[in-house]
Amino acid sequence: MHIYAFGSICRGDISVDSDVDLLALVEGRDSRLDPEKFSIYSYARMLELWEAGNAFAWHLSLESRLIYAADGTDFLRSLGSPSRYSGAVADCLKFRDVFESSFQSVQKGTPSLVFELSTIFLALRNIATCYSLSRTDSPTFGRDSARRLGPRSLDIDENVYSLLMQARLLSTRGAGDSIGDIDLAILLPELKRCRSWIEELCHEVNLNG
Amino acid sequence: MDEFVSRMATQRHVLDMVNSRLDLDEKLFGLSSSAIDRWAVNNRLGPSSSVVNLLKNISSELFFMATRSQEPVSSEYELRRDKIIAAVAALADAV
Repeated sequence: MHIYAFGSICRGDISVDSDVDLLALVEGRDSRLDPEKFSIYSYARMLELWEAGNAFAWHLSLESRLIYAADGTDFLRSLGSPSRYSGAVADCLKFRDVFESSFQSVQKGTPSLVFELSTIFLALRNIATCYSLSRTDSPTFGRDSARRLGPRSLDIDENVYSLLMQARLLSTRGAGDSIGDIDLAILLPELKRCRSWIEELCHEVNLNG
Repeated sequence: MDEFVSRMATQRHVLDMVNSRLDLDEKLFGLSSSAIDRWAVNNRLGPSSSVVNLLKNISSELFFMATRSQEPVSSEYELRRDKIIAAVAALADAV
């Protein structure tokens, strides 16, 4: 077994609501590992992701630190760099569809608004990461990646962006203050700006393969 | 359908069912174990609540699927998918 930390803690990007992302590489199944605490992968599957140039493989390649190795080796480092990232078009379109489903739900007056806002935040973050891997020399993986794309950064109302982050924490970790009434007259125009931003990024990625 | 997208759709279905049918102080925000715990505590639902237990079961199966989706498809994977469908049906009867 190998255990790695990855993500914000490896960037030194710490805040009071940061958690620690952990990866476990295993042979077969290990019932000691809680899938809510670890991303669990077999060595064979990780090798496949590496060879496919998967976005998560790039994330691990650039932002992970070995914590434990049963055999004393650093498995991920031994793999070298992943293959070139070539999944940007498919990945961006997938998360564009994820955004769109949640956007439609919000427009229709969903009873699960926090979940939908959380999912919108996830889509924005992941599209930004996929875009940065494909189109820039400095991939960005953090939760704030949509605002770390230089001139391509997402530009929306600060309060709405904070609301999306708050929803993500509530939905994934059950942490933070509950969200009170939300004025859709303020929210929806900002989400439409998010949608335009997504279209622009997807278009650029698509044009460049 | 992509497995990730499929799991998101299942979560949406479950959350919408709970949040539209149960009139409680706080909505259910997600299907992580900690989001369910928060919801149960803030709505004074004890550990014996059948709805809480059904949600925990669905949560556990979804996280299992998320992990197992990294593996080649197996008969167990199919079995787990059937379990989720059964668990969601049980929840629909309970709320």
